[in-house]
Amino acid sequence: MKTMPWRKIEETLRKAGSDDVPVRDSAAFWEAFKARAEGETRNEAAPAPVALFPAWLKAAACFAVIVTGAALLIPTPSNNSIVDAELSEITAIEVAAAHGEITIDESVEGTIVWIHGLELEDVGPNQIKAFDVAADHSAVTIMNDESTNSTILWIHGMELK
Amino acid sequence: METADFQTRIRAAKSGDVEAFAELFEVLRPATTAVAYRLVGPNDADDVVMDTYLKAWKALPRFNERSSLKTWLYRISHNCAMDYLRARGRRLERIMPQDEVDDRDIGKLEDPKASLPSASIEKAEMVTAVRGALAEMDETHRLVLELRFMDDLSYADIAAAMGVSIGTVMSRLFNAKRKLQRIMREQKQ
Repeated sequence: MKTMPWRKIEETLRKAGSDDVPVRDSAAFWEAFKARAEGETRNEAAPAPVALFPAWLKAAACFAVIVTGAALLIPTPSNNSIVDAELSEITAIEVAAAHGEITIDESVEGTIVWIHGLELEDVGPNQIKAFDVAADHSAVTIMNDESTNSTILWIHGMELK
Repeated sequence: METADFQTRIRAAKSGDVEAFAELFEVLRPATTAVAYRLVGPNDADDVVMDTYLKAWKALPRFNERSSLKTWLYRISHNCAMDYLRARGRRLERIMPQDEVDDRDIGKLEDPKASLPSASIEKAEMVTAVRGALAEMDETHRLVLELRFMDDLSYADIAAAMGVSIGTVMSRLFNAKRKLQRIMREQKQ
């Protein structure tokens, strides 16, 4: 049985979402809010921000970006897997360290490349030897995904054809 | 880019103008309600939104504008929802257990296929199939799909609403999409 195209599922999700959450009447909400807010002491500390990128992750990502940049400038003989993406925009990904599957996911916020089974800080700095994208894009963010033991390359502003 | 009008309102709201606060935050209320609805379920969503807004009102003078107002509000919403679930001894698992569904309500639901042309029937069937597949998913993956595609939140906003990193959001979304496709394929077989 063929898998249903994601686009069709996504379209359905978006349609289904437009009216499934009831929102309380505006006047009633603000009347209740004002009654409760009156007399509240303000200027409490704001909630601690959620650390979207922990310090070690930022450091690892910066390190990986620098090393990747350097690796792109200095040609290194390939001794490991070269995975050419099926989609022509990503022309080459060369990963030196052992890793599992490479998968590509399109998103409205860019294109995401997963290198499964690769954790940047565990295997040294030279894992991603080359990464080349032919299509226009604004930036590439490299980060670890702690929940799946994988490395994510987030190509901002690029939509796969 | 925030407008001068936004800056004027936020200054006024920070200094205690409740009308300015209402003008600023009313536009975010449907999205905040959706986040609360996804996190705690339909019965408690209104209470969580009210708690979120009261906390935002109290904390606004300290809002440093390093994140967007919306992302900041979703973080508060996440904290309020978790407090709410903790207080009730619940976890983020199922927002509407089957045994809580009142059979009397089922009769009130409209048949999505009633009096529709055939193209619309196909769409209605697709909606039913997607909803059915969503209901089979675990809470974490279902939630990330709903926030992303039904409520149209950005990765940063989903991360704030779920209290996780952006990388985790990407990963969950990727796995959730695969899982949903797999469930739908199995349903068709």
